[in-house]
Amino acid sequence: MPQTDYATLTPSSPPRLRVEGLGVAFRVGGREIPAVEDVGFTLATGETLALVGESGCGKSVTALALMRLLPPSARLLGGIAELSGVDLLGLPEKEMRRRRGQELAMVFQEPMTSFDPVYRLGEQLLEAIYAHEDVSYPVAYNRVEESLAAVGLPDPAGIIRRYPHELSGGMKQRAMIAMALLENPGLILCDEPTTALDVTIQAQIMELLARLRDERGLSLLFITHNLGLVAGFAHRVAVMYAGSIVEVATVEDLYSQPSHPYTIGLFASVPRLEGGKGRLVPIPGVVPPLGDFPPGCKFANRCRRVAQLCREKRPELADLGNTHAVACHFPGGDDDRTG
Amino acid sequence: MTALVEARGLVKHYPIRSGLFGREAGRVHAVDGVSLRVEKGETYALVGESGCGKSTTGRLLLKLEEPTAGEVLLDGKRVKRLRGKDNSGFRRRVQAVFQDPFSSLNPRLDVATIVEEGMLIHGLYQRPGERRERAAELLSLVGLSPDSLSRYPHEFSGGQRQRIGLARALSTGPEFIVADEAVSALDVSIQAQIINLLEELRDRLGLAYLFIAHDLAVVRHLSHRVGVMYLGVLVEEGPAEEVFTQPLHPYTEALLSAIPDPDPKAGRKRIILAGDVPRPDHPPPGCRFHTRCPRSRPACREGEPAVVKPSANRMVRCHFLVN
Repeated sequence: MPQTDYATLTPSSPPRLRVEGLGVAFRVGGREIPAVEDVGFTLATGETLALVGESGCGKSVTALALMRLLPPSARLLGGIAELSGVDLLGLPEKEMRRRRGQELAMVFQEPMTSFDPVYRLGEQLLEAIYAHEDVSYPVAYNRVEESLAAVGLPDPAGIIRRYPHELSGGMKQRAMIAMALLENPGLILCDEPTTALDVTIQAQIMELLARLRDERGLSLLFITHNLGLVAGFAHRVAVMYAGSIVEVATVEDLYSQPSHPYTIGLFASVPRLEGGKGRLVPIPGVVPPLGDFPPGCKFANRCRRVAQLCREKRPELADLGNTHAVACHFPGGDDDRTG
Repeated sequence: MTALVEARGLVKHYPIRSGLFGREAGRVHAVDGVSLRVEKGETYALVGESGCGKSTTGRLLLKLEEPTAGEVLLDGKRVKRLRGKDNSGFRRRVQAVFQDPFSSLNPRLDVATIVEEGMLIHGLYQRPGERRERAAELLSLVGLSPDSLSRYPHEFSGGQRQRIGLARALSTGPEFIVADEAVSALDVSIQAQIINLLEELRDRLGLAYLFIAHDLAVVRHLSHRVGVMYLGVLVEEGPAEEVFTQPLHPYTEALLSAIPDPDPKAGRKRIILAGDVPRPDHPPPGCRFHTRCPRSRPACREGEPAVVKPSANRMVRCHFLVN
């Protein structure tokens, strides 16, 4: 996979996306349950930020909030999400609709269910153009064909006439990416785009995303549960746990010096291909249920370093220097990695 | 030496029916001649991508499906077609754990009923009190508190349900467990707990596993021997250590190189295979992998590759081995 040198990206230029204090809650049985709490990050032009975490940590909800596609049971508690200086969260729906597709687009996990099964792929891609622009059929058709070719699909004219079920999972995910690129948005949110695919197909899609990103200077918010996938692909990583970002760092720093006990625990839980045969070191216990978060640190009940302070006061994301930030009262060190 | 479980030339074809009279329009070659042996206390992993036939092979070994051809042996004795009451003890000695911890437990039964059902069917304990006692023992063995017995599956998380599934499998005192993607649906921090549990149980109870998985890092960690399947055929087999460090089949090599490794500095060689797996109702002639193989030559399109045994415990099907 081509590796973009993060150091050459200009940190002085304003970020393309700036998220601050994002909060989302779900209404369940008359109660409001927070799913995302005080999430913030920035994303530069051409940069890839990976949002990593386990099921229910709030990574997908964060992306849906940015797209303003939250389900009706969800409520935005606050925060800002500035894309090129404009707060997406405060825009009227009509304005937001224009920006979806043209400025930001999303690629979903399930290529099998993301297309409408009763329409040909061509019709669905054409519709995405007509929703934004008043262009003639030949112009729109050409753009669809170009976009399908750009994602490496053979015979784009043939694909246009096919129904979604006639394509394999990998081809469908390529078509999904082609659809996201139709209006040339600068920011793509990828929600587990390869999770439903086999590893050899996953490798193809990751190569494609890296190529498109580098050719077009796309900013990617890449949501995944797979730490391995991120290593060769993202520039920075934000680790989420129970609705909050607990650690954010460049890929190199995160993998060489994980500082939050949860991040350290995640690495120790994953069997390594090159690794030895010793017992894995699982993180004991389970994630506290949504809505039942303790007043202090949300990881306290599973943490090996837990102290009285952790149960009383919730740690905030604090900079360790070198753009490495961690939300822990006792960060750093990997001496408890082995047990 | 007799293996605990052996598959000899297993074939499973599913007919594709179409038209008014259900004429057979074709056949899906799900499994096409798989032979393997699992020794007592051994973990044999079957790996490959979706549709390669690894789960069907597991179902054939469990006798949940009848093979089109070939046979399954337990202790060297051929297992007859199972129908109704099973007198051979096969169902008691061979158990299964499935992938989805949500759909593999009956939501209407409490944990005690789920875990005791196998004992009841096989008449293992006479008194209900004994069964209940044994169920409580099994739960603590898999790391759940015995007061879970009166609770229902929906009250448990995915990892805990997988523990219940394991307790159910262990309830008949099996020697061989087919674990079909048993940890795939779990989050990594929970996955590690279940992997460790599987290892502990194997060492303590002397179990043998057929571990079906697509996550090769998990497979390397857990298994003694590995079989790699592609389009219904076992293309490579050998000790896990050797297959992972020195793959001989180009498909194994590509599969290993496609796994993302959580180390940005690892810089492993990547082989990205072109295209998709061909459809199993029309497997390509010759070597089944030739349509995607980076080393394909004309000979690969013609003859099906013969089995090569580079050493006593390794097997590979390829005309032109890696190095």
